[in-house]
Amino acid sequence: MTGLSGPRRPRRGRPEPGPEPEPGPEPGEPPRHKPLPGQKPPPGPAPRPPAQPPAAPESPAPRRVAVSAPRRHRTGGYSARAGAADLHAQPQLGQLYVRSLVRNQLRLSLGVLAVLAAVLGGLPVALAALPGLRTAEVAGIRLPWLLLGVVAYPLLVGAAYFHVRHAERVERDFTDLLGGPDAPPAAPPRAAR
Amino acid sequence: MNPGHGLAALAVVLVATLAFGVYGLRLSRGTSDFYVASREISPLLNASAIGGEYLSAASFLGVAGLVMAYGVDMLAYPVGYTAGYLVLLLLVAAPLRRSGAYTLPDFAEERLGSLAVRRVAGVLVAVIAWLYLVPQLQGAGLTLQTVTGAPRWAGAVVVAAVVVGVAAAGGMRSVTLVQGFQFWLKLTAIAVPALFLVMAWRSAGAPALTGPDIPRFDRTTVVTLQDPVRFDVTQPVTVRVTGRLDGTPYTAGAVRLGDGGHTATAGTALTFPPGAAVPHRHGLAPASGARWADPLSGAGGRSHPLYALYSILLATLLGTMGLPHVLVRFYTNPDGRAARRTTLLVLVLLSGFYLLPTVYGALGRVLAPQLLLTGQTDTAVLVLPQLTQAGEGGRLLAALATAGAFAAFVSTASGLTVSVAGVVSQDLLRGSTRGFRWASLAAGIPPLVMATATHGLPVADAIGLAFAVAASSFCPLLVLGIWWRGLTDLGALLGLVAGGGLAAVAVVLTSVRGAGHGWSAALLAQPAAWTVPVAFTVMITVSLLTRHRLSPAAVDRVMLRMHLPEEVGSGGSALPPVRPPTAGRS
Repeated sequence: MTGLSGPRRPRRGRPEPGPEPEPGPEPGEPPRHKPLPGQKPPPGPAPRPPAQPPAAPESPAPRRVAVSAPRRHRTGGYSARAGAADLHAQPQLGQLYVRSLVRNQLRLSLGVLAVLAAVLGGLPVALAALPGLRTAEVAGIRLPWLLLGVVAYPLLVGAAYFHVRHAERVERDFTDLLGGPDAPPAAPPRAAR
Repeated sequence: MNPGHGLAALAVVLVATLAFGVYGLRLSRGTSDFYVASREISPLLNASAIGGEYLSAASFLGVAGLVMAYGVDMLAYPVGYTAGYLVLLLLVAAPLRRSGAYTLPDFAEERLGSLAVRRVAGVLVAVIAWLYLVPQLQGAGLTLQTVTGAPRWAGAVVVAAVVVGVAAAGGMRSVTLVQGFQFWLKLTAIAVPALFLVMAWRSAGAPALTGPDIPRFDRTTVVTLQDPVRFDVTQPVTVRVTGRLDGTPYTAGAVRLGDGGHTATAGTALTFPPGAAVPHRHGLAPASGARWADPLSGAGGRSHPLYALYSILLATLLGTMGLPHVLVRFYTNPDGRAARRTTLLVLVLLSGFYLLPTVYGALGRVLAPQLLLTGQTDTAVLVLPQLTQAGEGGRLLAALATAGAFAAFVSTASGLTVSVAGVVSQDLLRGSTRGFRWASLAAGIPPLVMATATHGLPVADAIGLAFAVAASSFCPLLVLGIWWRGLTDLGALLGLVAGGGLAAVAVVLTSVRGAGHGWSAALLAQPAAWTVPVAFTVMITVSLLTRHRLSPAAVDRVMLRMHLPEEVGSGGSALPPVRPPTAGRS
C-alpha cells in the first residue's frame, strides 16, 4: 500500500457486499474496466471476471501463505476500491463523480461559512447601529463582553461539529454510491442533502 | 517578582522541553520520522500539539494586554484566532491532508506544477514565520526582564537557542510531544491564577470595572520602571521619586507632577499616593471604565475602531490557514477524516483557553493599573498572579504563569522553526537530515537579530500582522487551489506577490513608524481588509486571462486526490503515490 492514505478505517453503516469467492490479490489493484457511461453496468462486484490473475498462487516459489481474513476488511470493503479503480480507468465518468462530490462539499462549507460571516460580521455593525446593545447587561456582564468573550466559542465549536458530521456524511454517501450493491448510474449523482 | 522562582520555572520548562526532545530523538529513526513523526499520532495528542503550537505569546500574554489597554474591541483577536480554525476546517483541512503536501510550497507545486510558484511560496513561508517569530522572542525577552530584571535580549537568546536545539535534535516527533505537553501547561498556567484573581477581586469588594473614572491607584503604589518611559499626566499629583525624572536626579524626593508629558529613566521608582489617577504611557490615551467597556469607542486612542475590528477579524479568520507551522501539523493526521476531527478537537481546546485571558485584561485595570503607566500591559498575565496572594502562594502562582509564558514562546517558536527549516532544507539543501539541522539554525537566527534590534509593537498586534500577510497570500492560494479548477500558475504567482507583497510592505511601514492616526495609519496598521481582496482579485483575474495555461488532465488528477475520501482514493495504480517530502528533489 502506498504512502498516501495511511491506516484506513473500516467504513461504518454499510454492510459488506456479497460473498467474495476468491481470496485474490490486493483488491482493486488491477484497474477493472466498466461499460461506458451509456450502458447499464453490471450489478455490483459479484460478476468479477474469473480471469483475474491471482498473483501469489501462480508464483512458483514455495512461499508460505498466511491464510487469514482477507486484508480488504481493513481497507473498508472491496467494492469501494474497485470503484476507485474505475474512476481512474474512466476519466470522464470519474470526473463527473468527483465534480459532484466537490460541489457538494463546497456547498456545505460555504453554507457554514455564510452563517459564520453573518453572525461574526453582523455583530460589529449591530453594535455600531444600535448603541443600546453596547451597554445592555446580561447577568451583570456587558452584552458585547459576553458575546465576544464567552458565547462565541460554543457557537464556533457547534458550527465545526455540524460541518464535520455533514462532510463525513457527504463522503459516505459518495462511497456508498461508488461501491454499493447498485452500480453507479451514468448521470452524475447528487449525493448531498 | 522573585527572581529565584521565575528562574526555577524557566528551568523546569526548558528541561522538560529538552527531555521530550531527547526522547523524541531516540524515537525518530529515518528522514520520514524526522519530518512527519511517521503520522502515528493519536488525535488528542495531535490536537494538543496543534493547540500548544498555536497558543503563542500573542495568546498567552498579548490578548490580556491589549484588552487591558484598549478594551472590548480587542476580543476580536481571540475570537478570530479560534474562528480561523473553523474556516480552516471548512475550506482546507481534509483536502489539504489528502493532497499529501507537506508544506505550503509543496502544495503550490503539486497543484500548479510550477517551480516559480513554489519558490515564491517558500519565500513567503519564511517571511511569515519570521514575522511571527520576532514577537515570540520579544515576548521572551520581556518575560525574563519582568521576572528577573535581565536585559531584554537575554530571554530572546535563551528561547532561540532551545528552539533551534530541539528542532535540530529531534525534528517533528519531539516537537509533537513537547507541544502536547505545553498546551496543558499553558492552560494550567493561565487557569489556576485566574481563579485566584477572581477571588482577589471579590475579596477587594468587587470594584466596578465600568465606572465613569479613569484608573486610580487604590493604595500607595511604588512603580519601578525597567525601561525609560515617557508618560502623560492628566491630573497633577505629588509623588516620591528615586531616580531620574525629567532629567533631574532625586533620592526619595517629593515632586509635583504637573499636567503634560514627563520622562523617567530606567530604574526610577515613583511612589504614588492612594487615589492618584494613573498617568498613562505616552500614546495610550486614558479612558474611563465606561469608555473602555464600550465597544467601538476607540478607547486608548485607536482610530477607526470599526474598520480595525473588521480587518482584525478578516486577518485572523483567513490567516490561520496560511500559517506554515499550523499546516505541517495536518500531515501528521492519518487521513482527511482524522484531519477534520482533529480540527474539531482543536477548536474545543482553544475555546477553553481563550475564555481566560479576558479575565486578566479586565481585572488588571483595577488590580495592576501601574502597567498602564509603564506601558507593559503585555506583562499583565505575569504580574497579576502574585498580587492575588500574599507571600509564598503568590510567588508560586507567578512562577506558574512564567512557566506557561515560556511554554508559549518555546512551543510556537519551535513549530515555526521546524516549518521554515523544512522549507529551507527541502528547497536549498536537498532534504537530508543533516541539511534539516543546518536549516534550523538558518531559520532561527534572522528573527533573533530582528527581535533584539527592535522594540516592536504590542505582541498581539505584531502577530496580527503576520496573520495579515498569511491571509493575503496563502489563503487565496489554498482556497482557490482546492476549490477552483481554473487557478493557473501565473494567476497564483501574481496573486501571491501582490497580496503578500502589499501586506508585507504595510507591516514594515507600521513597524518602522509605530502606531499613527488617520486613515492611512489605520489602513497600514490593519492591512488585511484591503490586501486580501486585492490578492483574490489578482489571482482570479489573471487566471481567467491565462486560461490557456491550464492542463485539464493535471488539474483533474490533483482534484481527485484532494477530494476523494481515502477509502475510495488511491486504490488504483493510476494515482501516483505521494512522494515523501524529501523525494523527487535530488
